Amino acid sequence: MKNQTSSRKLEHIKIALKKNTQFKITNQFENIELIPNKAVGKRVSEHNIDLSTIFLNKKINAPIFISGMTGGHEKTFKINLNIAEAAHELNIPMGLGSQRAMIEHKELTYTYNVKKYYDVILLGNIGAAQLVKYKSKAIKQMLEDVDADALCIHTNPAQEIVQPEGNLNFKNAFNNIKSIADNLDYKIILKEVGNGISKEVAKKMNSTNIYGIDTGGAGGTNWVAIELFRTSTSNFDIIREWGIPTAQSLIETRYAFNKFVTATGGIRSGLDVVKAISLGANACGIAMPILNAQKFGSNGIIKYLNLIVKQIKNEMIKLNCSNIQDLRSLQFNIKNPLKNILEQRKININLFQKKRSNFKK
Amino acid sequence: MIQNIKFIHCALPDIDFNEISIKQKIKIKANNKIKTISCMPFAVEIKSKNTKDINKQIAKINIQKNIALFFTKSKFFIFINKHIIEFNIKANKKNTDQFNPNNAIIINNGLDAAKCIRLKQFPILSDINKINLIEEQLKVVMFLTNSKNIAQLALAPIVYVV
Repeated sequence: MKNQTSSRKLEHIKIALKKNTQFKITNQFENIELIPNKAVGKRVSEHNIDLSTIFLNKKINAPIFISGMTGGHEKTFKINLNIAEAAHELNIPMGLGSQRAMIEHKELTYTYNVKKYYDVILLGNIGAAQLVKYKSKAIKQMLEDVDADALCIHTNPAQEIVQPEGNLNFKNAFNNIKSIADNLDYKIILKEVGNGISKEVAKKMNSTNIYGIDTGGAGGTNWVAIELFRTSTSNFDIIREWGIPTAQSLIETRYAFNKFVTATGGIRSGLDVVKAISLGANACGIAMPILNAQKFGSNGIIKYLNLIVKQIKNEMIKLNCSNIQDLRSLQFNIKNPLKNILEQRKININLFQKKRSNFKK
Repeated sequence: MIQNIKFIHCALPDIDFNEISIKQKIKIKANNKIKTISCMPFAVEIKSKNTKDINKQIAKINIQKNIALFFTKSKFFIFINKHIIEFNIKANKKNTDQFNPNNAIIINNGLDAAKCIRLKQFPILSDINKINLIEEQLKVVMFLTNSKNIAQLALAPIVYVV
């Protein structure tokens, strides 16, 4: 059954796959330099590296997950199924795209219902803008219908501004998120979709019961760019490169928020993952490369992620780190321009080095 | 300069876009008296040289667009209470609470207008036909920096970039 939300989901996928929708600005991880672990007596090899970590109280094989992308159209079901098969095989979590479509049209639930086929750690997804209309009861049902393990609430004001059908009323968005976190018996993660979380927003979330924050920083897929392809106006070109790069957003978020933090936004290599973990991320989310890889089925996704894991291990050998905790203890240097920006943002980098691992597990 | 600043994105603005106000309160010192006017936060460059044409344009733009500040090459005008007050442009003072024509910058889009306001530079439109576009774009920047009004925009977090 065709409807506006469902059609938009498919359009987004098509544009993301076919057009140039990446940020021109980088994720700023190139300005992070890790200093190898100098501990003697360590001999790190590919065979004795342990990448396992805890995600939502469950052990996963590597500190990566497949970030939520899609659902809500019959053609997106196969994508989610391929992702689920790969996530199950690799024992890493996966996210769903916004589930608004299945709340509006129950018959689209199947496009998200991957746990019917594969046992995975599943992150549900709804927009903060939808919480005006849909309260705890509806959200709970939405999560139960797909057997989700947690809920990501995405906030995307830049995308909504450009989107022809965008919702431009974010009044009470924070209170609505707070209310859901208070009333729903699910772990709630606030996520941006590519424009980043600042320390001001992260700090504000400390006063809520949310479980974690996903940076959703700039440097990868650009949702403003995607929506610019859907609109006939060029009025919003001025915000095409708007946002906080992922490395900056991760540091700001970790500096201000002491719970679960994941880094997404332009994560494209094992080196990006290693740097993000060292900066205090619990795990890293990857999206666009997975969307490309799934064109070759679940095997394409598995092949891609195995390459990322291999890259992570190679970097850890160079850094003399044999596990995730070793990574979190590494010292690092931050180069300009990122260093200069963090100083302007009043981030004490020495203090950050000390506190980045002191988060509630 | 304004090109060197970048606003910090606010992922959770507490705003309805349609309630954003871009009127600015400006204090003008004229004849040793301080007057406050509420108008659009732009000045417009008037290209006519003829005094009658200048006055006619000023009155028309004020009615249509609520703009109260105008420039020619050598003069500065304020339209207040249906009167036009004329100044010669003089050397600037450092007091930025008072309008300072030497802080004015010609802009072509709403992001530049926002930057000017944030840096207490003053944005000038050289093309009055762009005002609707610039207003919309300015509101977009205000939305994404959680600024309900011009006073909040003037305090929005920024960084200076190289």
